[in-house]
Amino acid sequence: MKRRQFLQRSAEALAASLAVSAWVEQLQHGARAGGQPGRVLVLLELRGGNDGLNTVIPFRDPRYQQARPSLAIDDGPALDADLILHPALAPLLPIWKARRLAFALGVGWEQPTRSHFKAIDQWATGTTSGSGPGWLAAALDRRGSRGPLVALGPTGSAALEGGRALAIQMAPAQLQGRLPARVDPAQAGNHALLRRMLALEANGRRELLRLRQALRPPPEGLQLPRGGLGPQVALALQLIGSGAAPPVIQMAQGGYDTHAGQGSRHGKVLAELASALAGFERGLKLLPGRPEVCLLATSEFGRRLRENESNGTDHGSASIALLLGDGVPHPFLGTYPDLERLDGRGDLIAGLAPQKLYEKLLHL
Amino acid sequence: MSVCPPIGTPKRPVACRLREVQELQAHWLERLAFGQGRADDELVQLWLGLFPVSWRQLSDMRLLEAQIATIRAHLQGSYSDLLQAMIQDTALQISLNGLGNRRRNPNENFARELLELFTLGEGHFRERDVSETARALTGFRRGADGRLFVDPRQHDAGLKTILGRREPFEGASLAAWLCQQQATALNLVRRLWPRMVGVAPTGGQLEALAGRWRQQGLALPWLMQALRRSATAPANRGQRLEDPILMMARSLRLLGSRHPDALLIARQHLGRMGQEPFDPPSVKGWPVNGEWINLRWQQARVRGLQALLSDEEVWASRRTPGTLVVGVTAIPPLTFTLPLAVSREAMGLLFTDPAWQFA
Repeated sequence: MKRRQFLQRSAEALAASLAVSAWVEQLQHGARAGGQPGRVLVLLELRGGNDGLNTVIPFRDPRYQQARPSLAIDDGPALDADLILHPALAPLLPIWKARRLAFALGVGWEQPTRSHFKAIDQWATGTTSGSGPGWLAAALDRRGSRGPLVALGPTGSAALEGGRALAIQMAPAQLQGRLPARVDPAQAGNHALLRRMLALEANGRRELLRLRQALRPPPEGLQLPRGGLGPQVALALQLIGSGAAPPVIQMAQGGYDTHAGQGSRHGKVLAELASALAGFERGLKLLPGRPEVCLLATSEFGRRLRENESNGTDHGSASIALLLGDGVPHPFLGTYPDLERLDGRGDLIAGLAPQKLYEKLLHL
Repeated sequence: MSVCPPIGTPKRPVACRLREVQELQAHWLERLAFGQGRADDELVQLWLGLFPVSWRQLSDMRLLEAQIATIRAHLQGSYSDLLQAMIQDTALQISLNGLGNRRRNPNENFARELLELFTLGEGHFRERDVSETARALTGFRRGADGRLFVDPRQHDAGLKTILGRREPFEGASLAAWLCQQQATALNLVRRLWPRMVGVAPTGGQLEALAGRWRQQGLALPWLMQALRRSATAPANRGQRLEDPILMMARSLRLLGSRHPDALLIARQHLGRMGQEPFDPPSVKGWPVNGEWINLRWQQARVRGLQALLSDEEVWASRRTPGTLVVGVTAIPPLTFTLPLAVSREAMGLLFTDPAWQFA
């Protein structure tokens, strides 16, 4: 457990705060100028470590083909002369052609960790140390926004937490069920901690009620996946179209830790992803007067170039990130890692640090 | 599922380790809820937050059991002895990269945490002390039996200057020397107070307590008794937001069901409450007291208890008291009044009341 580079951390925090201020100004300006609600940032977490090499595929590279005798893919929707998409992602091609889809290439940490939980902490905080408030929570705090940051994924997200702005979770249970009875924070008397706890719960309850009341039915005919990501996308669209869109929405999809039998498993999760994102895009078109929306899909790390003995891949380093929506930097951010230049473990070397990616996103 | 390679084999599949740690987690919860040595186990749980090891860093879950046994064996001794045992603990050394700390290629991770968290505290040592401490801790290796020994070829036996004293320090002499420092007693008292009592007092109270503890030779029973006395004093009772693990153990105990579902549900939900057993988020351990305040975790606490209550098997095998008496919560409930005859509804009221979360 090495997570205490204090000096480095504060330097990173400073850099992050500078980066965010542009977004903040833009948001405030936007709100003043048009009376439009601010931009909505949707974070989609692909849990388990998505194999970037088999998502945006350097199919012409002989080193890719050699390293993956059973897993190499050589045919799929073309992004440019050298890169193709996994065939399961074909539903994304129209969005790509409309220039509303972009890929960040070679995203990862300079000194990568292969531990899921450490890497998730790093991504959540946008720091190599993996400690501190979530990057989105910190961004809203600097903006002076009260949020809320709304997590739709079943286990919430540390990227949304640890700031002053309210982070709430919204799952079907909280949407339909009866909310727990409200306890007046004044009942805490002089018990400061209890009062804080009750106040937070009262705020969360109030915010949840407000969002619930503002929800409109989702646009029809979206053909979203039934389970997993589908209901989250539907709810995200409802929130975006509600007229009271929260500035940050989080979603999550699992199943990317493909140590064994990757071929069919990876195809299956990517197919669900593509179907959910295509539905999301269709939904955005059907929401009149909606705020600007940008979705960022990231994963905690990529996977090793060389496949393993179980027709799978082990934890690697650099991977790809996906951006979808208004004003995304189509076609690419960063460059594809050189398959000739690998690190000591045989992993791709990242060229685009997650902090830089966040910075870019907040500047859009 | 395929057969797991024997324990001790390096790089065992995560599924095997997961199964083993889940068994251990359920067993540990059972002990905290129902065990004969519950009082000691609660103290062990406390120290697991001060000498934190995540199961994710280990390939052999028996190392966690060994750490627990070592801590328990030292509860009646002095902090100096406990610290020395922790320096020689395999799990802790692995988690802080101690086995990579060699004479020619020192790794300072363990040394830094030792000075900053386990003894002196921030601001009471210099970088030079860290590197010299790392030298004193070089050479630990795992023997065939899993225990640590010092490999003379990898240990730096030379003189080291630590906090102004020049000696050929190694693990034991280092622990003893660090425990002689005034700052160590104060740092430990400062870290333990919020975990056992709540919001730390202002003024010189902590300093006074640390001073008296030093006069007691850093005896752990003396300190624990003193902290417990403070925790149960009227001004402090019910002021501390309890760790999820101990809150859950208390809930299991009140329900009294020994059905395996109960432990299963408890274990699953503890992760969502932010405190999966044996998985502290960092070397600083789990959040403490007010640090637990987070809407997601708060809601997870209530949902976990509701899940426990809504399981038919658990409810059918309950051994609840007839009445929820005054004093079942550390502060009076906010949403109902005690005493209350036990029913499923009454248990639901208790488990969703904020008062149940405090100790």
